[in-house]
Amino acid sequence: MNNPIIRQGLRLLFFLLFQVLLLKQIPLGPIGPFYADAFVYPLFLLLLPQRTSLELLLLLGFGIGLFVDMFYDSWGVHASASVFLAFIRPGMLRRLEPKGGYNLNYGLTIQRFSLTWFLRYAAIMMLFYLGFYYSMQVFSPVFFLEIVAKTALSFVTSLFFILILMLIFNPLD
Amino acid sequence: MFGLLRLLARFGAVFLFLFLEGICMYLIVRFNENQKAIFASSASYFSGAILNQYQKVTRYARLEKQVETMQKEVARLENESWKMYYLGQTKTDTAKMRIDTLGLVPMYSVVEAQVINNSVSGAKNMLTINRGRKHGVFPPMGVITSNGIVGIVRHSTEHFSSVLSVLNTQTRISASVKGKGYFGSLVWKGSDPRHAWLLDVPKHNPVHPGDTIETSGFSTLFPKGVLVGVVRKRWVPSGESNYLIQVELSADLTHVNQVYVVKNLFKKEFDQLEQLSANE
Repeated sequence: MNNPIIRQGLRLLFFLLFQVLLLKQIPLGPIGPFYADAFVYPLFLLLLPQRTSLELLLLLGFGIGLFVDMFYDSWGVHASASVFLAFIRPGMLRRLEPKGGYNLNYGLTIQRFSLTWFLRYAAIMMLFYLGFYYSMQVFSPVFFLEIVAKTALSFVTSLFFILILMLIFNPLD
Repeated sequence: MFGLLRLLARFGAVFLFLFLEGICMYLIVRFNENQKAIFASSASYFSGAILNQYQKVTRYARLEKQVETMQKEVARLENESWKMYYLGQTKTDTAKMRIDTLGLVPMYSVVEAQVINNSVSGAKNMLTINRGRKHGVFPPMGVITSNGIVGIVRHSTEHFSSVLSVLNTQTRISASVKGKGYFGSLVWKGSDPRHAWLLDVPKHNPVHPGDTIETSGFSTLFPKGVLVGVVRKRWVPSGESNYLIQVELSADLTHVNQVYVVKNLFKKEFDQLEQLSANE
């Protein structure tokens, strides 16, 4: 379990199965006229160490997204959103840099930073992710209000599950 | 080549990002029904807007050609309108009188022309048009627009003709009150290019402001029923037996551009008839 590649691989497998076998099956019900979704698999991309190259992040995002799309039967929608998430990650990290700077080898976890830092980081990234995801799903600026409403609802549920997972497992890297 | 490689090394991630998003977009539009429909309608909306703009530009470029075609068409229609016919009622049977409704024989034809010189400010105004003997335009022929009468051809050369304007103190045109048949001479007294005078209408005939004045068809120059104008004022000067009628001309001669020269196809016969009367 000390090999980081195997560790990350297992984590990825867990996130994907958690997403498609559990979260997809839970009916979160219509809140108003809209259904809320919960997405935790982007957390894998958020947690990867700082030194992970952007190219690798993009390819991983694309592959993971396509895998989830396979189960959601929405070819390309998740993939485009997670590629987008991967693309904005380095820039966002530069903006959120804590006082002491980063250790490039550390994972971006609660243990390595702090609960507030991680919450802020995860919240901003998930907001971008969900906004992009629902833009692609609705696919027309005509339904702008629908995009905003779905993003807001799913933001709450997704962040809730992400926080639960992080607090239960509390990984170091 | 190295520049290109350096560019790739520097922005490789951006290219990769765009490339992957491109694939995603393709997948989204290709395999998702909703998004496919939205994409298709948006694309056609977009291309439709572009094509529409393009059409506007090309339509403008074709304008001159279209105007030309339309002028020809108007000339053709004027030729066909009832004013231009000599009503050929014929007796075809000795036993019963029968009007041959198809016996319309063309009496007038028109030649379209452009005004290339015009004046309205003097007392003896003339126009120049770009049609002459080559096109069958000879003096005296009537000149009209779609709004009303313009004048009478005075001289013709090979390609051009000068036209005695209605706004010329020498011009006299036979005109009548529409629907009533009282006729008189239309003259112009100078200075006001919007109004002319109708003389010689006996005062026992009721004429009212607002009545329409049209050509009488008594001369061979104009077909019967071509619009001249509308009665503005009318009164009987003291000691005279005829009305003095002010007519607002329907054709604005200060802006005239497209005109039609009226050819009387029976001119020879009329001339012969006049000859016969003169020889008596």
